[in-house]
Amino acid sequence: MADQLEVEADDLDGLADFIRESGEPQPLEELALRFIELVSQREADSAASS
Amino acid sequence: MSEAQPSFKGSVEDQSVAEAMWGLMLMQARSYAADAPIRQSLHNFAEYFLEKGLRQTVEEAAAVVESAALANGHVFFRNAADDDVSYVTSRTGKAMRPAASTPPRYLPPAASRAPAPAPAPRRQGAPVVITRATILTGGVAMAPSLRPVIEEATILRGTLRPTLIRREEQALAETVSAPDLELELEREDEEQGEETIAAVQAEAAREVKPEPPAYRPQVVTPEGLTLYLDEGPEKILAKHGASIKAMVSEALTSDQRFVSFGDEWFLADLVVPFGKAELRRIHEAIEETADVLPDSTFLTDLLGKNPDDEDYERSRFSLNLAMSREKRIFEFRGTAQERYWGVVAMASPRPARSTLRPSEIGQDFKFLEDETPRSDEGAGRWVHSLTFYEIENGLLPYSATAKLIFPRAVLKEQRAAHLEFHAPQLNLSVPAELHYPSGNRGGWIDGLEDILDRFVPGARIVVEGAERDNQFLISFRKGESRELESVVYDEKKRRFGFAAMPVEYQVDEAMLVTKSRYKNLANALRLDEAIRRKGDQVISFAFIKVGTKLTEDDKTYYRTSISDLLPVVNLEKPFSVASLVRFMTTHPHYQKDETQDGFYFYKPEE
Repeated sequence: MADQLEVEADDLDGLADFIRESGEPQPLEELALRFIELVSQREADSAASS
Repeated sequence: MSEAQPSFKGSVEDQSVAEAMWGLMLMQARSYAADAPIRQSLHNFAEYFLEKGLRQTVEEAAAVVESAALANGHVFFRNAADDDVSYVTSRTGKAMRPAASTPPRYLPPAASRAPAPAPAPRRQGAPVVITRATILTGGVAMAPSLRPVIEEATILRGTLRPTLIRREEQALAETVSAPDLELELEREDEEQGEETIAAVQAEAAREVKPEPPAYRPQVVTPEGLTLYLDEGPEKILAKHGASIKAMVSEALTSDQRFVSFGDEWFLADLVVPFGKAELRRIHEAIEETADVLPDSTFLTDLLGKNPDDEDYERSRFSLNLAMSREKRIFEFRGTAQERYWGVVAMASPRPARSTLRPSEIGQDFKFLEDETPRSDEGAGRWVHSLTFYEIENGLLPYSATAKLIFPRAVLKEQRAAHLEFHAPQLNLSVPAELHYPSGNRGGWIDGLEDILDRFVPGARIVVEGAERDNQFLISFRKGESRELESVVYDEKKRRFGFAAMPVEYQVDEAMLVTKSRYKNLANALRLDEAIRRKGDQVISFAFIKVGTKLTEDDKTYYRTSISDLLPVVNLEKPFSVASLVRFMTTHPHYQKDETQDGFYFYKPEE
């Protein structure tokens, strides 16, 4: 069963790190892309460990 | 267990709707066995897609669902009992015929079926209902000719116990290859039966050899849509951007580490502080110029920043955030790229026709909020036929199509945006203001009188975006060079008349207001402002000037077509074809002429 897509605390930490590293405000579009990358990474890690 | 993602067929919409249907059914059946039937009604689906705005009525939404299910009969079994239609599938992504259903009224065409994945291993000891078709073909989808003879059989701990087969179906069964049926119906010896079934399964596997479905990493959105993560972030965002952005935005808003201005997000602890003294200087600068100013002016001229500074974007965001928090002092009138600010209570430029107030124009354009873009108008480019009302007031409607090219409000409470229009063929550039719809008012763009003055009602102009998101071009296509006696308004006499105007551009003939077409308008008195606001008075005025006068039983009434009425109605008050028809359909003074399409009667009150 596929997981439900939701923004988790780790994702928000990841987005905060992303903005901090860039040092500039980021458009929502950029953050949404980054969020999908974080979700993809999480799913890949989960698949590898199961 | 991971669901086998079915491949969806049909039109793009069919595929999209079918995928959503399947996603919804999966959500309702998370704890179901892999091959347990999942049922959902047509009515529920139709309600769901109606709510999502896919269609305007539940009937239309139901038709969309039916079309998607028809194209994807390999996934959804249509079960029709009386008038209650439902669809049945399973987590394997295969259409399921429910155990106790009436025979299906609809069978999908053979071409639409595809081999389904093999069923999953079953839990030891669990009673599982499967179809005989599955046994016969080793989990491969049945050929259409076999489907009517599908029987239910129960395997209990590996024992096959065929159930009864209906007599009428036996005849059909005879058309199926004899060895298979004999195998199914006549074997009593369980051991022998199992051996034969195994042989058939092996044979079927040899013949079809279905590829095991490759695992694709995926997640399901709250709306039930499946996102395949192997497609990459850009493609996923292109498909599901609105939903994902809304989800991210909501999460960022609820986390105090983040702050936003419009669609931009930053960390609160990285915001550059701006004090009261700096904001006061900005306020004074705007008041001095009595006009809106861009944030770049404040940053470079007042705060000593340079666009090349490393922290320029950070300072820019921080200043806009600080100003947006001073709602009693500053008013944002910018776009995402060009951030203009005014001060609160700063008057907008007056409309060209000084008797009209901005609030009245907003009410005149209220009907725009009920309209959808015309399908023949492409995004990014707006071809528009001007009306007398628009030219006289120097404005354009913020119509459904205009919304596709003009920038949306950056802030929720934003009332207006500063725009720039260039008309290269006229060598003119003007500042303009886009007034966003609010409450019961529609939106419009004003300040365009210097450009629009050059055209007659009916002129066809093209509006398109330029380099920056607040810059727009107005152009026209060259047309036959001629002189038209077009409608004008004489302010001294307070009457309409006609004047010869040179026309070198393309026009919409149906929207021209020329003397040859409307000679009764010559010397017509303008309606008083209080009367002009009322749609009924404006339309009846147009009927009297344009329509054919008729008499019946000593009663006078008028008849004319929508196409002749529309340009004249738009002298005093903006109407679209749809809003004019809507008004006349609901008002007792007007009646459709059933003998001729597009014609109406106006029957004045006695």
